[in-house]
Amino acid sequence: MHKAFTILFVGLLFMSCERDKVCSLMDYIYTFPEQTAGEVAYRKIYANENDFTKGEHGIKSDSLSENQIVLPAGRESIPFIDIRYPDGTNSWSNQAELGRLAQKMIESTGCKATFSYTDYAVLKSTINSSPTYLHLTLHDQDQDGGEKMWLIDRIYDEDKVDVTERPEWQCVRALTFTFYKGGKGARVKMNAPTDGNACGFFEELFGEKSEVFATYSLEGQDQKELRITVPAVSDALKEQLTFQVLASDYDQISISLTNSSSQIGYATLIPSNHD
Amino acid sequence: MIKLTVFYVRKLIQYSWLILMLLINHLVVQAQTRQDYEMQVRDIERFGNSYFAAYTNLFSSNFGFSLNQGWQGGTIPKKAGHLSFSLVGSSAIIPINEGNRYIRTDQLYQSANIAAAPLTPGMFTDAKGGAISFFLLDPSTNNRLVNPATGDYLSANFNMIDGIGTNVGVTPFVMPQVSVGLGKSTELSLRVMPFAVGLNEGKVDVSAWGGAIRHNLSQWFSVDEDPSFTVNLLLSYMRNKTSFTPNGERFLTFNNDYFSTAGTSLKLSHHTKTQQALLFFNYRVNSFIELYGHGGLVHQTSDLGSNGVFKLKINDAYIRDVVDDTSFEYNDLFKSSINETVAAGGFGLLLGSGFVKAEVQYTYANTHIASLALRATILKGDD
Repeated sequence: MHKAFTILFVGLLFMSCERDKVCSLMDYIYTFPEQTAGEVAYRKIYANENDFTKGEHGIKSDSLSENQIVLPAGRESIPFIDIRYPDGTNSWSNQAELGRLAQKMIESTGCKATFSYTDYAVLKSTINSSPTYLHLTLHDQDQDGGEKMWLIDRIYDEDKVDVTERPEWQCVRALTFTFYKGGKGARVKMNAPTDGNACGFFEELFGEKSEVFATYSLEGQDQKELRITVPAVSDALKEQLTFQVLASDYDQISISLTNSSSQIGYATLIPSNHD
Repeated sequence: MIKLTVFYVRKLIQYSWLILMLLINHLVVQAQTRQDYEMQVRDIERFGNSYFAAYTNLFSSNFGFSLNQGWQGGTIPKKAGHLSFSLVGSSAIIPINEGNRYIRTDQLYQSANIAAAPLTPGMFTDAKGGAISFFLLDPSTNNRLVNPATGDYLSANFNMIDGIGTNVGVTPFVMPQVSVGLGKSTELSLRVMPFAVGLNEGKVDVSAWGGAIRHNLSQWFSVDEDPSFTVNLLLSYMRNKTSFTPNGERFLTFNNDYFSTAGTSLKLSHHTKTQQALLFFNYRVNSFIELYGHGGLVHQTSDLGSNGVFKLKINDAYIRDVVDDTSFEYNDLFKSSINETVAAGGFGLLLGSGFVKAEVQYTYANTHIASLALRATILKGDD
């Protein structure tokens, strides 16, 4: 009898010690409606925004349970869901809404938390970020993450006349933009002409520097307004850093912009590694 | 000369509305923009309010109830002047389950400038606090801002509060109590508790006081001078004040290149007031053992708030074009309140006779509450 109590006591002690140790790492189990497996072009979950941006350590569903993704998550994890449809529509700028949409169930004895998406129609309508987010930052739909540098290739005026070589557009033309993967408020790096001839309003942006970071987002009902946000700059510069996206693809993006003389131009941007 | 002066005065009057409009416009733009940044700080406050209310919920919704238990059951001394001293310990025992082990942050206040881990521990679990990031947004685009030189987000990253690791919800206290017989089987009891404890790098200051009066109702309906079965009415009132500094001095402080919270000194404060009316049905088994059951109503008002000041200064290099003063300061940062009336019921056992008695009591009032008391009779009272 005494021995039985000793075993019971040691067992309880062991269980309590075990409970103290567990769940520093939890399995976040994401379950998706059946339709997503057949329809989405890409589906991975990242443990944090940094991994999501770089496309590192992404977890996808295994072959046995294709509607389920198991993400090992620590206390620092703020998961990011990366779902892309074949038309380029994606989940990038709607992470908070996606988080709210899931039904959650916690099973802490097994250190598991399940995030279930049951309504396919609602899920799909929430995954509505513009394909331009992919075009700006990736080389193709399967690339996990990274950044992409864009050069201004040609500039046309309002009459569709090629003004690329005109002096008033030279400083604008020399700008380069490097967009980093991310949703609303992701990073963009802008580089000024290296000869120190940053033009007009861009002097305020660059000052003595040749490179500055900012954030970008696609705004408006149809997500066609590309806004670049820099802290502590004039309203005039904010206006200059708002572009209309006329068309976008992985190899070319057309935007409207203005030069220092407030002339409107239409520019085609191409990736820096373009042939 | 006079003509010229009149001309300028006329011109000045003519254009004064324009100058005034420009001035007003300038002031309004500045005020709105500062307000926009202030709204972002207010978003932290609102998130914090919802988070602290959720984190402390099990404690704040039960502490008052448990504090107002452990009043003695059993026979009441008949004589005036009967004096006893007790040491009363009591605690709520709140089962931790899947519903209250973790806080789901999507059920807290949501804001575009706050990103938080989906789960963070409740107060009594053994898990570490989840990550949270506060981002400074551009008011006009609502986009995150970055340091133009480095690309770092203008953000503060810290962890929410760790669980204290008991793995069961407890609200323990031990309190001295003095009881005086008033005659006619009526007794008045008073409790006072002032002390401070260190907990999980933080510090808890607790002070509480209150009293109860109990009266033998059955004496008015029975001719038996010493009945085995008695019915008592107990009316009690307790109030307490608890100050808690979670995670020590690091509580809500984040200092980096973009934000400074220098001068911040915050404590969570918790006040409860509880009123209770209970009937005790006592049965004396023999001169050494007494059993009782009790039931009634208990009402609790629980206020969670903060003491001290929260100061936040945003590095003015990043918003100086629109904001003159980048320092924000708040008193009374957090506030939430719970008002609840619940049925209470339970049973107890009294052991002992003469000088020393021990009493164990179980009550269910919103949750399980266990109490233990040791009582010593100092004076037997007048005949």
